[in-house]
Amino acid sequence: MIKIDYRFTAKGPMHHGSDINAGTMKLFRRQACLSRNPVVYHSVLTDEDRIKVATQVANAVWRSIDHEDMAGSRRMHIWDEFRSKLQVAARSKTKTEFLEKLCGAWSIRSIHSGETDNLCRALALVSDDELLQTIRDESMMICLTLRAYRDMIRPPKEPNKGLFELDNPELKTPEPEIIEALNIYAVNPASEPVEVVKERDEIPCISGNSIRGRIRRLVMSEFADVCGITNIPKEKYHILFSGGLLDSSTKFDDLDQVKQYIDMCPMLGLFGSAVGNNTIEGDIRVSWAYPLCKERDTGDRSYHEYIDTVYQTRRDSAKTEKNIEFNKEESKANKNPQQMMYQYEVLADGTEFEHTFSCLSPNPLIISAFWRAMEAFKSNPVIGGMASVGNGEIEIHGLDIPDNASNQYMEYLNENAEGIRQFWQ
Amino acid sequence: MKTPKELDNFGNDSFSGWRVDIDFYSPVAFERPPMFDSIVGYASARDRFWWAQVKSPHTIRWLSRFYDRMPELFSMVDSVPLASQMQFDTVATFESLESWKKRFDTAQRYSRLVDFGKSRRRVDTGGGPFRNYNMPLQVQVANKGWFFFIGNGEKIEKLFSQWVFGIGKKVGTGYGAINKAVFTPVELDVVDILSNRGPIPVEIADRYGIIGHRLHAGFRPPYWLPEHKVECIQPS
Repeated sequence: MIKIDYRFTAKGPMHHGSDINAGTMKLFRRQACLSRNPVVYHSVLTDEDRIKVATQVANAVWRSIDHEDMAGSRRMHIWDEFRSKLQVAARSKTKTEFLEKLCGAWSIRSIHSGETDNLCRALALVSDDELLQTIRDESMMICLTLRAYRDMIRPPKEPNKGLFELDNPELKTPEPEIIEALNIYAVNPASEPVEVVKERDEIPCISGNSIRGRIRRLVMSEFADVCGITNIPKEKYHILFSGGLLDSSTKFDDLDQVKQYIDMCPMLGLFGSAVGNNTIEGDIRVSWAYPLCKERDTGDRSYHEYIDTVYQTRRDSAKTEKNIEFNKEESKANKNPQQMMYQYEVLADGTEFEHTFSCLSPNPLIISAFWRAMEAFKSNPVIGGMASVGNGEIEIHGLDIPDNASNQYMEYLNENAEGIRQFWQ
Repeated sequence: MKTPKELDNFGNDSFSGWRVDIDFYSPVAFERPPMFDSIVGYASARDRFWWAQVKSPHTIRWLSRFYDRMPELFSMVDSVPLASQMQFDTVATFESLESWKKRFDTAQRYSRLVDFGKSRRRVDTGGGPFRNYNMPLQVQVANKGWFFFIGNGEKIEKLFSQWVFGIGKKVGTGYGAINKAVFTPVELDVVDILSNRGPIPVEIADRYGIIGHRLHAGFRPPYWLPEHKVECIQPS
């Protein structure tokens, strides 16, 4: 087995999308892990009180936001935005840095005079790790409590002047539990601090499937170019570029046919595929890429320090276009400008990753193909998503390829190009 | 295929007890804890037939004859290899839901190669044979796992380091990748192993006083082979 443990460094921001959005932000893909270096802090608070303190901090910031000058469309999604910004700010190292970041994100120059006392008391009750870890883990609960509280104490709207009285006066009475949730003076710190250990974590990472898929497409594209393949039936395209599909087209296990597929494309022996009834087992193993961090005991810094947020906008150029005349009827129908703002999490420039490639096959042709795949990866060092807007470029260290290691594979393709082309086209 | 009696080599003096400690690089995906004899059986078959790129039910059935190399590797009681299933700290570990994706690549730089003939250049990626996948995958988040076995530790270690990159499902895309595997000789007796492995045939369980629930299951690798499925006890 050839096993290459190497490292790479992000050159510029790196994004690898997940299925989860936090408000207006697309989160980086994460994987649950058991931290090898768990966060340990000493606390005088219970779990409930810890959330109460964090909610109090959030409340102080909320009240200091200038809601008056805010556009109505923004206010509609204000809680999404608030949670996103809360999570982003919680990536700080200390609680003061967190407060600076959160206030900065909302252009707050000073805390509301009615909240300074509560905020100071709340901050004094918790350590850096305690507050930040609570916000990272419980941001939804904090926002929910805060929202319930704010809704309860909001002054009643003007009575409805229509036929029906829609406002229910009962709803305007603040629930004692909600009020209590924000009462910082009801927090009773214990006399002796208790050790709290946070072992579970969600670490940002790049999936092996993503890296493998990227290299697969690179080498298959090169394979088609070298052999002069210009048109392939879509089933065969799927076999080469996406791993194929299992069906009953071959009815039985046609081993000769499968061998022929590998002979006609040695990269299939490396990346595997599905042909008819058969699965070709790929011999390449691509591990997940993890940042070197304290949580995996591979670095001195927490991964939280590497995470950043990129803010992007898309403008509706039609608003400023002068030289092109638009169809008036269509313009009337689509009055709303087609523009948006979006955010996504990235790992910052300079983040170092650990990663492994492995090749199980002792077959010299497959090994040569493996080295060709490594060369293709080295010459196209981009991983993750949104590469078209400058994300995902990497610098590779320690991925050494022996001289002329891929010659056998390339010679094989050149020698058999005619037969290969006829087979695939 | 050899009969169970022929595969019984229990008491072979050249075999000894071993513990394999595994430090995982990434979470392990499995439904039932992986069996050590199964992993080594795979490595053994690949070692003999590395040139056989094909992995299909037909070839594995054919290759499964070479799982009978087992008696060279493991001590066996009536053809049951004395190897445990994966053990892990059930308090510290937890389950998590991951996903893997597969898609028909429609990027112009690649899909320019597709010949659609006279039909329209379109592919249904929402269903049918070319549909895109986002498949959930349950994983066990564990930093460490360990196995026990009675057998030829040196040979197994060599096979393991040569052929086993990871354990469990979706190893090719990085799940269950192994950072380090350490083989250590330990004192073991047959009941230690049998009570920590997957299903064992009822007669053997009765002979060694092992209790558990009954099920019809495979008792030796390859576990899915119908010939290997008998009335078993799953040790509890």
